[in-house]
Amino acid sequence: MKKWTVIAAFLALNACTEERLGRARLTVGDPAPDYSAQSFAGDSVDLAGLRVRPLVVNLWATWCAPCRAEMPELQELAEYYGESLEVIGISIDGRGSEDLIQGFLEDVGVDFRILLDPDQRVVREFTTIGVPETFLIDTEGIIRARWIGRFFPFDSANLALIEDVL
Amino acid sequence: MSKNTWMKAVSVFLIGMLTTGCTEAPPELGPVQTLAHSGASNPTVAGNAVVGRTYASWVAADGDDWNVWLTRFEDGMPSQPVRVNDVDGDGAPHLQAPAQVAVGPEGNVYALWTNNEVVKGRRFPSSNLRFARSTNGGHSFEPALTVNDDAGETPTSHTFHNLIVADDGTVIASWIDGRRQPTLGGPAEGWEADPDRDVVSLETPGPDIRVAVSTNGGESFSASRIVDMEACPCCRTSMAIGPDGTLFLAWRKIFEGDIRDIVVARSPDLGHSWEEPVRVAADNWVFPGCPHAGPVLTVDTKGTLHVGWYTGRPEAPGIYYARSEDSGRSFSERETLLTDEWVPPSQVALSADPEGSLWVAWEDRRFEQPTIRYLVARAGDPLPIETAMSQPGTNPVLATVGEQSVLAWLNRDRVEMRSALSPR
Repeated sequence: MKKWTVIAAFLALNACTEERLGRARLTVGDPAPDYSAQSFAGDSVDLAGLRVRPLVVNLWATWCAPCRAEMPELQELAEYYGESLEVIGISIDGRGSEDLIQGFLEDVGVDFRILLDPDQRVVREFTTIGVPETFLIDTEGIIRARWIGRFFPFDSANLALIEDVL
Repeated sequence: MSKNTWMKAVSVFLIGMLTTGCTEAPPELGPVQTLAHSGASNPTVAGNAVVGRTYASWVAADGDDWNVWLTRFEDGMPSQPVRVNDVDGDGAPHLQAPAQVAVGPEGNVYALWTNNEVVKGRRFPSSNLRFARSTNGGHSFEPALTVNDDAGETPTSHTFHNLIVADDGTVIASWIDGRRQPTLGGPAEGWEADPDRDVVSLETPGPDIRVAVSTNGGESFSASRIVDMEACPCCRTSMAIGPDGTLFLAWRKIFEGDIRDIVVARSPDLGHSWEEPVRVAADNWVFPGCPHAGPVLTVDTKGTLHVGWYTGRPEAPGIYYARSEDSGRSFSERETLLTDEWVPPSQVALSADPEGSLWVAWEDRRFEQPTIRYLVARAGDPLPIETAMSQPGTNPVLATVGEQSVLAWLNRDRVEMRSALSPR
């Protein structure tokens, strides 16, 4: 009898509740997810393989105004720290946007590494909500900062966080 | 009968009640049909009950060009697609701003899409809203015209559009318009700086929501009218028309503190004048970026306005639904379609059939393989909790004409659809 009651309760719960994965959003202190994507140059890039130096990982898209606005400062950041910090942009533009992306990067003068993710796998891996979002990942692979919305890298508080992982 | 047998019988009854009591099984969908086999962006679908025909439109790559395509459904089967745009490469793929199709009561088929215009000296392309009409049921289209009334002036963004036709044939286009926004990169080469635009800050935080109206069957459009000057810049607009002719327009608005919530405004005269927008729910979602997830509207035959939307509010991100029984002046408590600790921005689609049943489809992007889910609620019933389908794909859209509903979506770079008859 107990078995029937348990089965009834189980089915009742499953019949009337939406499946929840319970996947929490990544927060500061969490390990960065495994993630790889094709670079704009065509090679496959694994973020874990780049952690010989701290990473600033920026999710962006050409249709996103704050993303476009922050891009020149990200380029400045890459130039400012040179070899001691790797700045990476991950474009979530859809398929067929390669020319748009290239034109934008050329106009802004971006020469840091850009990855292409038209399927937006990075959204799931990094549990993001929109663009832009920017992550600071240390050489141990730990997320040390997460910026939602437009990122101001030379804001003193943000710069201090970056300096702290160098 | 022994006590144990009684308990078993009660348990079986309970199981039956609880597993079927949430909802009746939604109508079964027909087989998957592929409308575009490769290189496509997401579709839209629309129909007209008087004409009794449904159409789908999308943008697809043709070599280096992007063109707009349209197919019509005849007896549930899609026709060979026809190209809509007369100028080669005049289309542009855009997941949040797909090519729109609408059908007039006289059988005219209308398409509205956005193009990309690379502008020298500017860091990103501008776009124009292009429009074309078919007066032979979608077999061919007339040359396109530009809807935005600032065409030829300083290039800027006109996108995140929607298109609808009223019962009297009035054609209405809505979109997000960047003409008052800073150009983020300086004026275009050959254009003089505009002090009203080329500034770092504006009096209002967002771009405009604008509409333009055609009262001559799509031969031309009125000057655009501003509905709002504080729109979230990259979430699509959505329109619906009630049985009394009231036009509704929904968008994501920027409230103080960078809150990005959904509002609906009503127009009693098909877009010529607008009442103050009403906030659908106080989600209070603060997000200083681009959610890329606009709302969707539909109105049923009894005049109930239905709204679906995504919010990223941290305590319960997900996809929600609300209805208005007083013509958009107030809204019911939101109902949850999907929530979890993390739900990325997602699209939702709605349509209402003549019997008053509400069709709801949405994408579930929590998984490595995004899926489309759908449900059907009978008129007056609360939304059922069970869903009927888990179909690989994204960006669902719905249209109901007569007894037939069409669900279309994007599966990587393929446009696919299924259809079903409404429940009785």
